Amino acid sequence: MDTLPDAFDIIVLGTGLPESIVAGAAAKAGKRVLHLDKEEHYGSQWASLPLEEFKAWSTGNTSSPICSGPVKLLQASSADLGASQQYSIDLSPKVLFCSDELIDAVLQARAHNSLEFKLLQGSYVWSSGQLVSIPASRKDVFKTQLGLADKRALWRFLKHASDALQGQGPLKEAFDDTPLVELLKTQGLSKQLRPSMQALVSAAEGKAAFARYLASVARYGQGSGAFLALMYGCGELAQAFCRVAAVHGALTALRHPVAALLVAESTGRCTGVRLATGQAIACEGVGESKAERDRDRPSSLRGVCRAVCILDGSLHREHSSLSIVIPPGSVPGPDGNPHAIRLLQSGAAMSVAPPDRYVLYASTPWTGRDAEDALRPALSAFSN
Amino acid sequence: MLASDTGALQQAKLVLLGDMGAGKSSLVLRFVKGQFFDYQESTIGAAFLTKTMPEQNVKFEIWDTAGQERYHSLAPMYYRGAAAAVIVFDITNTESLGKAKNWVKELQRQGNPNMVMALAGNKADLADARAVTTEEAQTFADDNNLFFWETSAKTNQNVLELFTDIAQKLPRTSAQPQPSNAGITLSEPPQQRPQKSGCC
Repeated sequence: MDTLPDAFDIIVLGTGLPESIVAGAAAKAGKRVLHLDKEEHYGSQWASLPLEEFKAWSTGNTSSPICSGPVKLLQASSADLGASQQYSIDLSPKVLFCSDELIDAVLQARAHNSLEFKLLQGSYVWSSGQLVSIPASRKDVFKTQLGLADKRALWRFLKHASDALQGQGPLKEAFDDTPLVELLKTQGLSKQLRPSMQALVSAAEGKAAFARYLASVARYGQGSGAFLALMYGCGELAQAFCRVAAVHGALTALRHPVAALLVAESTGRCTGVRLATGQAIACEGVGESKAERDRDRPSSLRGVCRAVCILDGSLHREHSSLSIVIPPGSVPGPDGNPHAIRLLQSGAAMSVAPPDRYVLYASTPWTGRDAEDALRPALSAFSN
Repeated sequence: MLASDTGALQQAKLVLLGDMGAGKSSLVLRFVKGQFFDYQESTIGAAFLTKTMPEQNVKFEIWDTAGQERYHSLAPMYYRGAAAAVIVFDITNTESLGKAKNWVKELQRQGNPNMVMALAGNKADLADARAVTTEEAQTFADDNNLFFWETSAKTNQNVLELFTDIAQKLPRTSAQPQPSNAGITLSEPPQQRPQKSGCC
């Protein structure tokens, strides 16, 4: 293999999403960029992997910043899972709001030409043993199976909320001052309805999140839904920014582990890297993700329990890509679920699984319980 | 011929793979712009080129590797969804045929199973320096279900023929995207969209 050139302006370590955005931006700005990854594949902890590679990763990579705990591989049946290469399993599953800042970054970097998105077909809340659709627009409210009073309350709330975001209407002050949970109560949304509205914005409660939701709903046509998912999995995002970097002259090299950072004793500044092969490469600056750098240090980050399941049928009759929020306390059983559980399903229509197979991601905040104990009761509730 | 009935052009993503210096960019430039440069620099800054072949009713969207193949680090996204691939080697360089064989293997393992694949033995004008015989390349192509052309981007030998051949072998009906299965292309929010459509 060719040896690498000996000097660059910037060396970026890792091809995860943040690292790739940095590499792309630096190369676009005219810097000479070297983009290295120690792995065989693109994406670092943002990669999407074929089934066999995913299995190897999950059993052999427990020191990764996103996978610090034990991993269990469970096989429920001997059913044929299909060709490994037809899977694209996300290490960091993600759906994007249509109005997400990341979408703007994709457009600005002109990375969108190499990406294909689809709208998530449905968003649901698990309520009293049923999937209740989260309406994607005011028009959608009337298609739901809600009672007439609920429909009216929800329609009015969405209208007032949308007015308030433009500084108009009866809610314009309340929206700034009142927590969303309270606001929903005062606006007459029934107990059954409130979880679905909260689920929309539970990632970051409040006005900003709601504004993002309403902007997202409208962005690609009324009633089309607020969430985008990537064809071939989330790993494509990092690859698209790597491609932007390469198109602007960055040199990309996988399978190139770095053994040491070179630091000038007099100034304390990083002046380059030494590869595992022994080659020293000089640079003005090194970019590395914080998660990767701190991987061996004790972390104060909150843990998450996660499961990745392969299904032989969709959780919904008509939709193959959907998200489901299971509100706290709605899973039966002695331990229940103290926190919300989030499910995300995707399938062959997104080119992430073979025909008639689906990938389901489940996650919930860690409370000291084993991931299997925390998630299995909820998953079992769907299995029949 | 669904495509010609409706008058809609069939869009086809086309990728070129091969060793550095085999002439991938030169072939594309000759095909798309009718140009040839003796000292073609390694490609920087060009992500996509498009070329319409009206008589074949096909619009090729041709992706550049952006040099990622140099350290064997081509992103899988490059050939995902590609309708056609041209694997290029240099007939004056035996090693480049070896590299081409590796690319064929990788595509057979990871690529779209319906992909149309062509092998191009480029630099056919340099007959005196030939290191790969036509027979050897033809046998490899036959064994792997590729069709084979010896080309010269410099003299324009067989360049149009190669791309015409690909266009004619594209699976017509299956390549038409089903409306329900089509992805959305991102665009600026309407209020920011420029009046005239820019070039991509």
